[in-house]
Amino acid sequence: MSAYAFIFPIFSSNSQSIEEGHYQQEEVFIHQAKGSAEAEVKLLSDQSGNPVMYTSHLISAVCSDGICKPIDIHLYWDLLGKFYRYQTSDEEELTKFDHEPFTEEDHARLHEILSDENSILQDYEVEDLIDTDRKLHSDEIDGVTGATNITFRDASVEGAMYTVYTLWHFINGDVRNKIFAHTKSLLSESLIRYMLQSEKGDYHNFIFNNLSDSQRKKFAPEIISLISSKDIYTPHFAIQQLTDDVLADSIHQAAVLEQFASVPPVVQNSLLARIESQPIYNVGIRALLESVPQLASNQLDRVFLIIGRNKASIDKLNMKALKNLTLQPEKDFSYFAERILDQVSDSSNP
Amino acid sequence: MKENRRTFLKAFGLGSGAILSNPGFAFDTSGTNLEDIKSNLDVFARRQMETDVLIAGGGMSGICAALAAARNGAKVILIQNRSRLGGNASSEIRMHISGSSTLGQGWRETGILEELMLTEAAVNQQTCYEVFDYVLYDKVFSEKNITLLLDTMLFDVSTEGNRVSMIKAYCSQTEELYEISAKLFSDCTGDGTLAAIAGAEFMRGREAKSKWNESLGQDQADDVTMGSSLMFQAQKHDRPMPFVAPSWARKYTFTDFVHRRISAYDYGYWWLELGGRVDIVKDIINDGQRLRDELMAVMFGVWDYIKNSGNHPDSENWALSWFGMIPGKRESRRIVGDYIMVQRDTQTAPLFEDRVAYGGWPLDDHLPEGMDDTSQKPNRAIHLKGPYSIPMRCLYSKSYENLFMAGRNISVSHVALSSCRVMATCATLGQAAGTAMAYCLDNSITPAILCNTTQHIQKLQQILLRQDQSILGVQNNDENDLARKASVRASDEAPDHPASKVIDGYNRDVRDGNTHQWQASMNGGEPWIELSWDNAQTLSTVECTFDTGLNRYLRISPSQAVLAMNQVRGPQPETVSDYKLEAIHNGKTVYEKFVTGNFLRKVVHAFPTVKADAIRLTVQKTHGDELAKIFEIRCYQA
Repeated sequence: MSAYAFIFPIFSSNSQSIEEGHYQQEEVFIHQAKGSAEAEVKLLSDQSGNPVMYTSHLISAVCSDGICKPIDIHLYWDLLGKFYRYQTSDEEELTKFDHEPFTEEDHARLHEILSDENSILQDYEVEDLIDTDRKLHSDEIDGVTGATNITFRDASVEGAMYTVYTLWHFINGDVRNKIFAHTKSLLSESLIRYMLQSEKGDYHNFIFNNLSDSQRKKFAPEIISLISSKDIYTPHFAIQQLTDDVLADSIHQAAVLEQFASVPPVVQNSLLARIESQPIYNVGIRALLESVPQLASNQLDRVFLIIGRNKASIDKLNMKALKNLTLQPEKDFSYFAERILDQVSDSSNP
Repeated sequence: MKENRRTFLKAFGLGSGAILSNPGFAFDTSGTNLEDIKSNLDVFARRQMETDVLIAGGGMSGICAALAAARNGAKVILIQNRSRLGGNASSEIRMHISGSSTLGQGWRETGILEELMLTEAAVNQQTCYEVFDYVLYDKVFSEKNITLLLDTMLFDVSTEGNRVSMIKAYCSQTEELYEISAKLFSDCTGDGTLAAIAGAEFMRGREAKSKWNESLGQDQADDVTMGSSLMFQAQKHDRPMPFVAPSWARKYTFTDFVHRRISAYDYGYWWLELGGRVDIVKDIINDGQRLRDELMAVMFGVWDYIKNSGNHPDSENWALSWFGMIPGKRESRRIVGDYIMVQRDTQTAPLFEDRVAYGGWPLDDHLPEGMDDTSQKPNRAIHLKGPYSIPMRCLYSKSYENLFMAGRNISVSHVALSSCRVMATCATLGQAAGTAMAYCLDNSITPAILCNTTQHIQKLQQILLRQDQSILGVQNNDENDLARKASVRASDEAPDHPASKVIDGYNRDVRDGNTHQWQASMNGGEPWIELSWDNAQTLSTVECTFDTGLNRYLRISPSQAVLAMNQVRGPQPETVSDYKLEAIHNGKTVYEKFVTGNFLRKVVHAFPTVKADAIRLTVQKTHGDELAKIFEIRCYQA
């Protein structure tokens, strides 16, 4: 159950349509899907030259039971080849059985199916999806077509199965690999920065998997700010990208730890695990101490273990903070603070 | 000084197949005295046994095969290398039994498995796992035609031409060496051990896409299998229960569980898996032991993460109460039969002429790396349209004419196995194989002839159906069933559920748009149903098939969530509990039987032969249902 599926907003047909005119366009390759016409795949970039998404204008036909329906549809993928959305024009509506146009609900459903890269549609031939015992009679075309088998109900729009199947396979087939490979070939400093600064966990992950250690250093500021990302997993992967070098840098370390108090407990725990054996400077100790009153009791052990390992960083301000913590003797943290103070005064005794 | 046990075993052929053929090499001392060997026989008893059917392996497949063969008249010896029956389902491994219920289309498996599950649900209200072991033991032990040998390890197989002739097994608990000869053998070991030692042809690993045109196959064939898992259980206490991980436990972090959900703490996780890339069968001494140790490290590492990472604060009061130490295996060898079932067979579900069982679990292949690569999803499950049939030709070896197999080592591709490996399906394969073995013995034919002869196969299917094994597209055609020729009426009939349904040839719902059971209201008193004939019939057997809620699950599990999901623990409410069965001749009752507390689906009443022109069943009580429900009634002369 990946969090990424929930990050990207689902667009209904009511949302703002994509005005391709606002983008720079560049044809990047021609794709021929199995059994489909050729389609040109273009890269859309913003005015600053940052790649934003890929698009293709698919004009094809979907045939079933001897009847062919034309499809004319604009498709959009994100930079990693993941389906983003589609667009049809009013003149070229998507239709179902008996030329019924798609409803709003149908469009929402279709979008959901096309976005499901794990769809069961990849494991069956299109004929398999039909229940041969149940037929739908068409008045208009004077014929019958099969109803969708119950197992596939969630993977189709009733009456438009061939359309759904064809579109899914075009969108999620080999073209994705080609898009991904193309983006990888474009990787530059600005693209890396752009993707790290986006809100897409997929983009973060992609960059994280393609960074060298020197790049981890160069992009440390962007990586560090991802610790506060709202994505469930990005903060943890970002923390994994912090090298010892980066953490040893006092400015970077301060930027990491000043987020400590405001991130969720699971992220705090990942941070604590990461910095366990790192030298922590005064500012970092201060940030930890400030967060103590809000911490769960099972986190106190680890925080104070770290503080205890970095007694040299307990300056005047930090001493004051520690003493303040002992002013609430009924609290667990008071006990931990006392222990540290004992150790510090011991070591300062001549 | 007597030689130690190990060298003595060598003399008896442990691993070498020789019996006292070369006693000299087993002893260090020179001047070997045959008298020494003979005098050691009072330490190891040597038992030579002969039987009709030898079944190796006492998991769900072997149990059902043994019961089926025995109940059909064969003398059976069942050997099991553990102290308890059940295999992956037993209290030692505690994987719950999965099968076609997952389709959500009312295809829960019937037959012997249903009998076992219903019994367990009824007698094990305390949901104690060892009581499940007891239910299995009781069923097998009480079957007079079965000799059960527990803690008995197969170590050698003898063959003569294209027949298996004998197996050798060893029980250290009782210090016995067995040499068991049989007419027929069944490999229900899961690992295909018997077949492998015999030299029968088998498959292992993952086939290439191109071999059988399987879209889920590999680009290139390899020897990787699905891995094994260790399960655990934990309980909540009324105070914090600290846990300190052992030094050898693995260490996990938040991101290790991106694709693996820690949902509840009471039962472990199927994805706690390793070993697909380790050949645990071939290299048992090295990798098999190591695999178990690695799985322990994974399991305790996961528990350590839960208890001590800080990310599961609500686990504070939870503590381990049980864990398995025998890895639950998913895949080892697959013995080659006269047909190899492949991916497409599970997705398009052809009706093989020799079909004897069905599967319905998704094509559920697992990441071979398991917990060695937490960045990848642990599995991909592709749901099926509906149940698919499994042919008898997958259940006997093409190499030996008297060698059968059932369970997860049958003749299927790796991809097909990812669906049919689950225990409910395996149990039905066991019933099919066991019944077929008895049939082959009775008719003096080989399984190959059985499958190639329409008449034989259809007879076998009818026997299976009569014994409550469900086979897709097969209805009651039994000419010996006198009920089919009877007139049926009842005191009451619910709408769309007339009395005649009990002889319509179906004993369960099959999603064909029709109903297949008689129903009558319990509110008006005690409804009855009557089968009658113009002429008196000679009867000695009446068989009933009751309703047990096949649209639900029915299985013990360590997981509270699983127990609660669409399952009733205890006798099933739809089932007829108390009833009176009468045989009537010329208005007089010539046989009468009162039954109370029934919870089974299939009940066979055998009685001294009578002449009767009617059979009447009066329903006195159900287990809660307001309707009396009966799927089928059969009547036989013998």
